[in-house]
Amino acid sequence: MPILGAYCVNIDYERCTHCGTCVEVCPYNVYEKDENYHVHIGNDMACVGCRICMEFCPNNATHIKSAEPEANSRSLWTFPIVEQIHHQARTGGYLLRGFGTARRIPHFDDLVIVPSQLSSPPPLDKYREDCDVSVVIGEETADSPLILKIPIIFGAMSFGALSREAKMALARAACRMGTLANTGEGGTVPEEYPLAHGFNTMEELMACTNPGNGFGNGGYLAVQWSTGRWGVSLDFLQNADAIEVKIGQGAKPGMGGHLLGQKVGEEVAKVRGIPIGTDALSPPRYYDVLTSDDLRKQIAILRDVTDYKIPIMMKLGPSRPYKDVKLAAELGADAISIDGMAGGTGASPESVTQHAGIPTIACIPPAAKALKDLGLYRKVKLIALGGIRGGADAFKALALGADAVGIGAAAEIAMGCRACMACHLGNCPYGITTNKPELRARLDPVETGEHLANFLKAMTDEIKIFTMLSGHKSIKELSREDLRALTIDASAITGVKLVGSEKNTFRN
Amino acid sequence: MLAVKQEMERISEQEINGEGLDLRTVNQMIKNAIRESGVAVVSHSEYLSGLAAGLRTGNVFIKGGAGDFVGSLNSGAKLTIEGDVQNFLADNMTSGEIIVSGNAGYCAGPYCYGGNLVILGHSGNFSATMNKGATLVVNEDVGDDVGTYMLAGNIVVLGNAGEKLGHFLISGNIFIRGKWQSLGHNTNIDVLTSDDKKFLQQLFSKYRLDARPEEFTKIVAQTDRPFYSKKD
Repeated sequence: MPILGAYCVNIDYERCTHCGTCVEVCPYNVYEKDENYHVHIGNDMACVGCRICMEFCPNNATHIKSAEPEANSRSLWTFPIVEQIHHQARTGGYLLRGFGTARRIPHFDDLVIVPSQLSSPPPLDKYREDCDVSVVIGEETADSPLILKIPIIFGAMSFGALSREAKMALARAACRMGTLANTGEGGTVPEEYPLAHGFNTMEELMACTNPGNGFGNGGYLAVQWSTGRWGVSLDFLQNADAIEVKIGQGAKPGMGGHLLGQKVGEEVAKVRGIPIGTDALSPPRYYDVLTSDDLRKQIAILRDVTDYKIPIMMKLGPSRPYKDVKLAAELGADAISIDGMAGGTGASPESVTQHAGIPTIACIPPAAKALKDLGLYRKVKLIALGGIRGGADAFKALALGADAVGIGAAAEIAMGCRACMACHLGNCPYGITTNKPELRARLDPVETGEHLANFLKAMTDEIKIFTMLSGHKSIKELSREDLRALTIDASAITGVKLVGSEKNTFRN
Repeated sequence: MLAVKQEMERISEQEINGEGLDLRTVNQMIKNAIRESGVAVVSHSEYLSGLAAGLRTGNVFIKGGAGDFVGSLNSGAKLTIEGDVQNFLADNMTSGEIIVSGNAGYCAGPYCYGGNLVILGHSGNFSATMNKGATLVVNEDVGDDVGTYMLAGNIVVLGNAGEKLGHFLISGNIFIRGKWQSLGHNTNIDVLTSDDKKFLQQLFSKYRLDARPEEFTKIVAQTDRPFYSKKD
């Protein structure tokens, strides 16, 4: 029997017609009728939360809510779980949604930053001294390396998953801040490349004799080579500043991208080269890769068809970070992004989002160790993604061993998203994850691009603050010694010293 | 192929001998030759993966077969390959033409958006996977899973096919003269239209293939939405 008083029972008397259905169906006598045949709540303490009254009320007038967090009052069987099982029982289908895992997993919040005082190099002055936050990708391998002015890039989010206007805003912000936007795996919109370089159109960019004449600091656009190969052509690859070979992603590691048919309108279908309204479900692996050596060959071909000018990056989902990153580096990637379980703007089966993958903070130290063991640390750049919400999270990722971080969900939120997790339905009321013209019209790419740039600037300032208060003049100096773990779990996972202890309880 | 051999002999003095050279060097030599004369002849390069990748123009004759990923990302060039090719022929081609006189290995013509790929011998499993607009012609038999998740384009098989032909076909056509061991999910057998027959006859004439359209069975998708989304 559930705890007495575990539920709040409410009747909306503007809807209630006093038909008495709730009185009839409730086996616990929560409801009663008075002498005037009006329905009242007689004993809300008796409510067990079965919600039969809600099921049967013809006017949607009864409401049951947990008085305490459901995890306390209903243990494993929270109402969302119950509803999910009901849905599966009715339809035989599983649920899809976007926005990554919603469960509690070890996260950056389980780490704190150690400020510098007497026993370590003194803190630096954020207001009057410099702090190096730049990152270079492909310095030794590409004729035109990426020289990023900030250690934050945008994660891959495809056209189709995002609206054209959202893609334009991301490219514009990347240019304003001198960093990298990413097409994702859905081809590119015509404005994306010129906007990333400070021009509104390709014609303006081509006509300009001095690339520095564009707006912003000059950004970059990475294009994605993926298992679905949507919108990929020689032109697509040659109009890029970097190519990212996608192996996996945080939202659904081991599965390919999901773009549901309701988001495949005329424009998206044209860019991807697929029928309108059909689901674009990328395979989980490359059909044109049988062994890792085939991937090495592909990377060599990608370098060849782009005249050895641009860096080749690789994106991994959260799996076995040490071995995966080691292999990716051996295959020839110039930068390796690893997307933790907390990440995921993309649509995914709910159960996969909730249960597949490992936390972001568990990915970074082994990934960095793999590069160190190969003698490639700080040469092959490590980029951490997955649940990074601001400068503090970014700093912690850098201190755990990353060279840079990527943001996806946080970027969507900076564009106005409220994280309702219904991106896959294509009805985003803020014009971000929709292709419906009337909803897209709500997103101004210029203003939104400014908001994104502001967010990146604020994040970068926070990274500088934390870097300097911990006694460093460059993010390249950061290490796990700049962090402490608040929990034994986080310490064990990351190899960061447990707060209150000066010992590495767990080494990894 | 007689005409092809004669053409190869005519320009053999410009031949690029790939022996001992790396991919970058050979592909650059091919581009240089095309820039100068529009033609490149390559030999002894079957150990290279990605030979003649990313070309926009030119005629390339490859002697002695080719390795993996030959003609990847072809974007307008014509490649004629004398001999067999290994895996992933014409990967992600968007336009142009590739003709192979021998057999092709695993997954020929994956992810192509356009162009013609003609294999005069056999072609392996997963050929034309995720085809989005190219035409693949195989003069002899094909393996299993051919045309998996094809979204547009045409596959023409003059011989037989293995298991799961056209598995999860979304759109496009598969024309087959011989037998198949099994059809893939979401496929239907359809009647050839007059346009289909005209299209096939043009292909057979162009590539001098001994076949008549009436001998072929057409396989199409049951629906273009076999996964989550349904028609309204």
